[in-house]
Amino acid sequence: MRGKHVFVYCGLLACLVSCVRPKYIDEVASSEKNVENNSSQTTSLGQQKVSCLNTFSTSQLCMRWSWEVQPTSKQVGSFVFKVYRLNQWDQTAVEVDLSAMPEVVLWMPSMGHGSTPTKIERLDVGTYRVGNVFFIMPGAWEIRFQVKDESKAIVDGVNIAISI
Amino acid sequence: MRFLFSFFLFTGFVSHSWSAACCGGGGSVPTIITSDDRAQFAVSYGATQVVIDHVDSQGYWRRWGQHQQTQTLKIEGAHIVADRWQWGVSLPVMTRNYSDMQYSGLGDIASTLSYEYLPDWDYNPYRPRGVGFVQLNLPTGKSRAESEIGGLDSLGSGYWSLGLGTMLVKSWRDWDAFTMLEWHQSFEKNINRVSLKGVARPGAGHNIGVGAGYNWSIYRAGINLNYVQEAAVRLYAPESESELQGMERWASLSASFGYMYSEEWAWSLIYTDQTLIGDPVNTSLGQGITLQLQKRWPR
Repeated sequence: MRGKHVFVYCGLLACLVSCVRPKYIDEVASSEKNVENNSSQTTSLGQQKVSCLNTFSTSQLCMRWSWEVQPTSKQVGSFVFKVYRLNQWDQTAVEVDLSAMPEVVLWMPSMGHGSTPTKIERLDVGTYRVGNVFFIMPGAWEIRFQVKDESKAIVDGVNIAISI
Repeated sequence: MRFLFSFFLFTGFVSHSWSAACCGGGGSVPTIITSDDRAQFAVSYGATQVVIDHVDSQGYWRRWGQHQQTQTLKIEGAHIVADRWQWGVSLPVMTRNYSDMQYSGLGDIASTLSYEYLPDWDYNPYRPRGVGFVQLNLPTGKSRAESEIGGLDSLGSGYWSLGLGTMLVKSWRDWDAFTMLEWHQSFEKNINRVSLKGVARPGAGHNIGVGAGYNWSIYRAGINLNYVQEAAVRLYAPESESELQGMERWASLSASFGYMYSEEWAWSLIYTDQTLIGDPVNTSLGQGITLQLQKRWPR
């Protein structure tokens, strides 16, 4: 009987000295961070001035994106992104196509894995929809926009960090 | 009692208690006979539910609305090959479920060569029995870095690795205790994925285990604690920047109950929880239950 008590006390002591102290972040908390702030000024012609928040590494083209359907743990999402250059006179957006159809990869750097493959379609000049956007776990992710050449080498791209 | 303990200790580190709950990874269990038997064999079935989907590099725990589940069927055996030498092998088959997706296949096969460097022929009251081992991990399971779907089809560490370790076991009357230290080095591998073509360079990892148990009649109740750390994996791709998959760390606490219903056969039921102990990073945490059937052949 005494032995059983020692066993229980040892277990309790082990828990006291080494139990985890979890710092929880729940699913809902971070969704607001993914909405870009598109506040901008208006030109004399009534067009909106924009800034270049995200820049492709080679072409130096600008990119902005916005959720159409925000993904959840149970539902795939989609977003639209636009590629543009800044008009040199009034800093408005002039949409342009990328040199090739881009690919979009969802990547979780800390865990060294991606997610299910996305689907991409061109909607108009410099305007693309990315569907089948699904994150298999919450955390810090990157949305990687990549343009590849014929040999499948990445020749242009931009990475956007988001928190899910 | 001594015999009972040693019988249950065979593969006493539960199959899934060494692996991260999500996405494969982790080391495999050394299959070692710690009793005076000629051969032992075990088959186990374990089910794990991920309850914390991601613990990030800063130690923040994140839960998602859906969780992965894994089932592992594991066949393990060990046989004496010379007086103090033995050889063991473990063969896991895994199924991973997430939402409506399911992936099954062979996990990493592990082969262990062990040498009893500290025999306990005279049943010394203080000196433990010591077994040293070399373990080779065969990358028959896919690694996370090779997965095109976020590691859902990753069923093992996926790398060749070579490990060295030791296990010390001791029993006193109704009580038993053991400790295990293991260090391993994993080796680089070419990755040929749609989104990444290059080389993955994993590093070293280690496992530290301690456990104790109480034996009465034909039963044993035990508790095990395993602490696992895996070094960061660097991914080098010629056409893009190198990636760094962060260092992983987690601890598993297991409670087991064993029942020996004959001289040669025993059942064990093991509950494992990765959310109770330690300071996990870059991993998922799960809770699981395993049922194990063991058979022994005395010398």
